[in-house]
Amino acid sequence: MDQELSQILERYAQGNPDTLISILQEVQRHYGYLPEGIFSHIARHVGMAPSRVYGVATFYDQFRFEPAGRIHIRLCAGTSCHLEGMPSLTRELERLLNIKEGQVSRDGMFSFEKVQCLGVCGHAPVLESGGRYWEGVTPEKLREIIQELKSRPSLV
Amino acid sequence: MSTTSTTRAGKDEWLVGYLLDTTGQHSDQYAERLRILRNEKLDKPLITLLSGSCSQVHKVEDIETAIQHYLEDNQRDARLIRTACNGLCAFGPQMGIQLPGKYTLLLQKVDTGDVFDILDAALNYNADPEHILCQIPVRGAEPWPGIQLFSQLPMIQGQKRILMEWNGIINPEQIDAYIAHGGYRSFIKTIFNYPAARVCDLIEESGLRGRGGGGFPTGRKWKIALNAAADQKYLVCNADESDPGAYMDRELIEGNPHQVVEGIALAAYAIGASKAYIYLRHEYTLAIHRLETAVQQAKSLGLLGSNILDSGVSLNIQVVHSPGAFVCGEETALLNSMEGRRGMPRTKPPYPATRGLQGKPTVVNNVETLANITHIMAHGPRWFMDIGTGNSKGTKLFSLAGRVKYQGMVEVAMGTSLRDIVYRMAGGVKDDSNLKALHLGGPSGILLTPDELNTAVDYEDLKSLGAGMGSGGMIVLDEHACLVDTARFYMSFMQAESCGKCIPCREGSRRMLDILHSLTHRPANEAGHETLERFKGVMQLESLAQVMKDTSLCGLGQNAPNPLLSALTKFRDEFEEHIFDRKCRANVCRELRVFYIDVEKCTGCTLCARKCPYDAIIGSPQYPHFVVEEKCTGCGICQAVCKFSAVFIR
Repeated sequence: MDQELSQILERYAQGNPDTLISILQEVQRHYGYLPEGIFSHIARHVGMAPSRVYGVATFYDQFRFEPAGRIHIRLCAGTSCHLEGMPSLTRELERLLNIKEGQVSRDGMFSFEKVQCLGVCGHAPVLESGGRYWEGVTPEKLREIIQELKSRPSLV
Repeated sequence: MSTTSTTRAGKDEWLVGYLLDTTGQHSDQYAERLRILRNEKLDKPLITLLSGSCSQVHKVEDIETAIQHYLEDNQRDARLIRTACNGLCAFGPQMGIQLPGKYTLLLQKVDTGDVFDILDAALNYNADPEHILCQIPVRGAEPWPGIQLFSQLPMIQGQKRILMEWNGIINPEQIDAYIAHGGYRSFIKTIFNYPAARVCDLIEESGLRGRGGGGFPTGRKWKIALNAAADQKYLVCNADESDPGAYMDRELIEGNPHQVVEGIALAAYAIGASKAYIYLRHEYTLAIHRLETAVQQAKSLGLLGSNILDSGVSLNIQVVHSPGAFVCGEETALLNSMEGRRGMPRTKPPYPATRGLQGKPTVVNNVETLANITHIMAHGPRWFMDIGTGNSKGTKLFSLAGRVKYQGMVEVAMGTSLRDIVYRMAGGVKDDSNLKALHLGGPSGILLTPDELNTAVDYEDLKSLGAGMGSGGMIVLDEHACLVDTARFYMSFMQAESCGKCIPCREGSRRMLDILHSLTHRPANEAGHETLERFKGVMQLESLAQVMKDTSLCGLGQNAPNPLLSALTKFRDEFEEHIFDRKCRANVCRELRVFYIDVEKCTGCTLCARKCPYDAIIGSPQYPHFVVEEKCTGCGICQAVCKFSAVFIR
């Protein structure tokens, strides 16, 4: 068990399954995803079977099991965005990045996922990456956004 | 944790004194300071930036920087605060400017580039008409001439703003501002003067019903929990708003978090709970921040914690970050999730009010319900009963989205007609196209036809149409929307969110989605009785839906077929078109589209034939091209690339 994980676990009382989701959230905040090796450690800490811990983690949308790309794009899957053309944006994004939802591009640069409503329905369709939001996105605008993201020096 | 008196912040001590002065004996000594906190007495201009979650889209940070630059460059002194959205999302980004002695000017659609001009004009007492939306009254100040009031805006007229009254005006991260606007007074008055059972009585008398969907009388639920014998009871505020297209809870929390905290405190007192949780979606970063700040501030002022202001009442509130699952909006699933399990519903009874979190009596209330408590306790049940209709009291928040002119939030008194909401408050349908349907209540809600818009917002009236009050998400659909596709969208949401506990829901939603998928896609071949088979699938949807309704444990499964069934009964012709004519009149179902090329316009440039990924276009250079229907998948690339606009949808 690496040190960071044991530090996280230390903060939670042992043998209390109630804390499981908080632990998983904190581990994900630290690693960016839930690495395979952690489950048995967490299971021992909270006093549950590893399979149960894994079962809980896979149940919720928040947890991911492989690292995201350096640029992770989130597409809003809310009703408004759907009506305003999110399906065609998704296809265009798949084409541009040559990956499907949930995959990471071969160079580790891009990944994208559809998320539950981002709650900015008034500006649909909306996408988000690295804390920045784009509203009223069209396929043309999407191409520009991808170009812009690619040229961000800090990420290359 | 130390007790109240030691943690109380020194400079805010007088606020506690003011709150404890419930009879108003010493009101004179506080009046002046409260006026300052309410911004009724300014010594310098006040600039308010309305920034809720939508501010990230609007890049409010950039506007803020521009304002600061302006103030520095011109050596002007002004106070800059951030509030939250006032519900008029369509007019964002909004900015308020209040000069000493004047009403607040509210500006709309402010752009970073406009900031200099706007401030230059406004700070010199000269209103720039281009960006002005309205003015907001300030007590003791003068109005600007010739500018309409906030309450006169067509979107606001007809609304009854109680919960949203201070949204966009009050600083949500400052407890003193909330107290100055009358906050926490009813909480203090209640814990010192009323026994818990009396609070339950008052709430029951007021007729408040749960705003989360079910509409169960809140007071009655509380009484069950109050009368249950247990050493520990819990109150849980359900803020796991995961219905796509609904964001009322987020707006309430971001706009006025203390109102929610006070409601929680009152509810917890009423049921005898010393521990309360707020189960809030992890994606709502700003709402989490503001709520946690609010809880912290209330605690340091001694309004939360153990032995609150020496009253003997204790309450600790903890914000729990929900890991995200639609089914966790169901109260027992939520409790399972809080106990670190998969969020699957439990069998009821026992209801959470008798056996909930850790087997202890637990009341789960929605954010909006709890926010109402604050006002009922402040103004009394009589006041609340006067708002609304026979069995539905108070107001209801709706979030309006889809094809309306002014998207955003509205708060209306119960009894207001849906038509008023869509045509008056939301300004009607975008681009003046025709309203096709109104979808109410998210993925478990139903579609209403334009004729049904005269229905009032009322638990019973909506129930008679088969719709619940639901979450309050309202989606307007016009001719550009395909109802088969909309039904498929909701079904795919429900299918993905079904927790898998009950087989009818898990498998039934999958099967329904398959049937809908086959309607919106073209079959691989036309052999056999494909069309008939698909039609048979549609015919069986109703009995499948009935089985799901009868045998699913929770509301998710029971209501999952609602959008589909209402679309099928009310817009049957669209389904038949999809089945028999392979036609989607809104051209949304992409796979049903077939393109053709106008021979008159085609110049034979061969571009479309080269770009077509399916080799569905044939033709020789310089001669008109043709689409091979059997091969066309309706992707639309040919139409997008054609420079002569010669490609059309059949």
